[in-house]
Amino acid sequence: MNKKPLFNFEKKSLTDILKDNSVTLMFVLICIICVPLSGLSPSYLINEVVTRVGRNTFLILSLIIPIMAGMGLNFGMTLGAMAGELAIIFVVDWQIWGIPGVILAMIISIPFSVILGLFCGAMMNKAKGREMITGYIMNFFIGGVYLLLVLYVMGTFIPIKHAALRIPRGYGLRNTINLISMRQCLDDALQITIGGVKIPILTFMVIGLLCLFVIWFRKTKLGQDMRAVGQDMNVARDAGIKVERTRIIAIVISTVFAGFGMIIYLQNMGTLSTYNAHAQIGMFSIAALLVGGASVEKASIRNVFLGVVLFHTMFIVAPKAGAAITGDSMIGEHFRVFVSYGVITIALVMYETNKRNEKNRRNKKLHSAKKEGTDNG
Amino acid sequence: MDKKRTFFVRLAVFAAVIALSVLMMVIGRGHTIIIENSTFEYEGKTYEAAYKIVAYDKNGERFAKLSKRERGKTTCMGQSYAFTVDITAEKDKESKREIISIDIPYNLDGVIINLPAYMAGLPQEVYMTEYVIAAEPEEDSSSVPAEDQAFDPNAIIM
Repeated sequence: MNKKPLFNFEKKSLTDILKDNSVTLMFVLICIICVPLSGLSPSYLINEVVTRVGRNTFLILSLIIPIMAGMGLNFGMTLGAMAGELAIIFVVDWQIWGIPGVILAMIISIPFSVILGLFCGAMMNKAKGREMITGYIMNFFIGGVYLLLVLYVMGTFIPIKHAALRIPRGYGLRNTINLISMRQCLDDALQITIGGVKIPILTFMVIGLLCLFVIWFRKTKLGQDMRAVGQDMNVARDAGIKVERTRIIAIVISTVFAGFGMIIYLQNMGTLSTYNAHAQIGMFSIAALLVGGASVEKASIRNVFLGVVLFHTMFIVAPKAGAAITGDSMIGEHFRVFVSYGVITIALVMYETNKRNEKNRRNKKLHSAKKEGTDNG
Repeated sequence: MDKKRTFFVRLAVFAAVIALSVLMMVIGRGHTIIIENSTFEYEGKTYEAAYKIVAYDKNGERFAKLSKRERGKTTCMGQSYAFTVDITAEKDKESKREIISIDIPYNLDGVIINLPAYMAGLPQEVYMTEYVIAAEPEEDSSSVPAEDQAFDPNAIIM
């Protein structure tokens, strides 16, 4: 079996290895420095990391398929998160509790996610090569529509039965919605404790299913088409692949999974911050994926797990380490936000630089070949 | 032929999803159950409250210990709920164990069960009344986000 190593050390100079894995290595270094400084006990740290892996991995996995289709980091996954939030609001209002509530929310989120995914995919097809910025701006646009829905339409045109969800004026939703009826229902079912570390088996099984789906999907005809589209759209089109349709399907799948991921995330949190729960989900998920060693063009399940562990270890220890270093825990808080944006910036800059270098190398080759031809002729 | 097969497969998947949704709506419907131990009057007859009632859920965990005119609360999922009560009718008398099984209408979020009325064998519409969960106290204007609040980058805790 052809096993891929964790880091790609094959036939590469040390500089190349450091360059290729710079973000991951930087995070390993940050964690090595910050963990002892934070003073957190190993069992607390492991417990927190395991909880956060269960909470966030599904969301991050939803990013893999668009990368496979050459659409880069899907900032539009926030649309799926909004769909998940809308679904969970309905389920809470209908008083469906526990795991059935989570399953129903997932089912209800599907049509919302599909509609938003179709829209997002169509927009990205119109902005080929600029998918990431299109997805990012689309968040703000759909975010506005979402605000209109939850601030005015819900309670006015869409009935919201329970006063506990509505703002006292009669329409619009409250800032925070209590999800106590489904809080950690997935995590607590089949939970086991090993050495004081709580392991949410059912949540991990759901994540495992998605991993299996991604592995299986890569081998299907559609998966192969997506890879072909991701490598070269023109060649894929010439080979008879419906490029635009394939790209839309990639975004729809990602949006649907992001909706599911958001529901898993919210059931773990136990509260829904109605107006801004989705706001940073895309950013943090993308940052975690990049920390795991993924790039705009390439991402794997291994990157997801490595990223979520490293990124969230940094998240947990940063405030305490910040307090230990500077005496102010807010420095740590700002540091983790700064690192999240920073890592995305580094990844995008590296992607553009590599692309430019590759183009220059190709041009040089072409130029020298032309020159050789002229000299010989 | 292939198109027809695809259509039927899609239809079957759609039907299965709808069926699963309905099932989840039925088995996951949550209710708040309030049990009360208070004297009840019905058609000129008085049903006296017991001296003490102790209620246990299906796992045997106690969820209420009620003296006269007291209420206890539990929750359940689904449209039926069974629990056990130890009833001491009068002081210094032995308690009697009863299993109480009630059917809860789907449309009610919460119900109040008057135990003396239930014990007397009165019909469901008599011993069961709707319990309306009160809304939380009014929030201040911060319940509506300000323009710059909607996408607060620091608002989320990952």
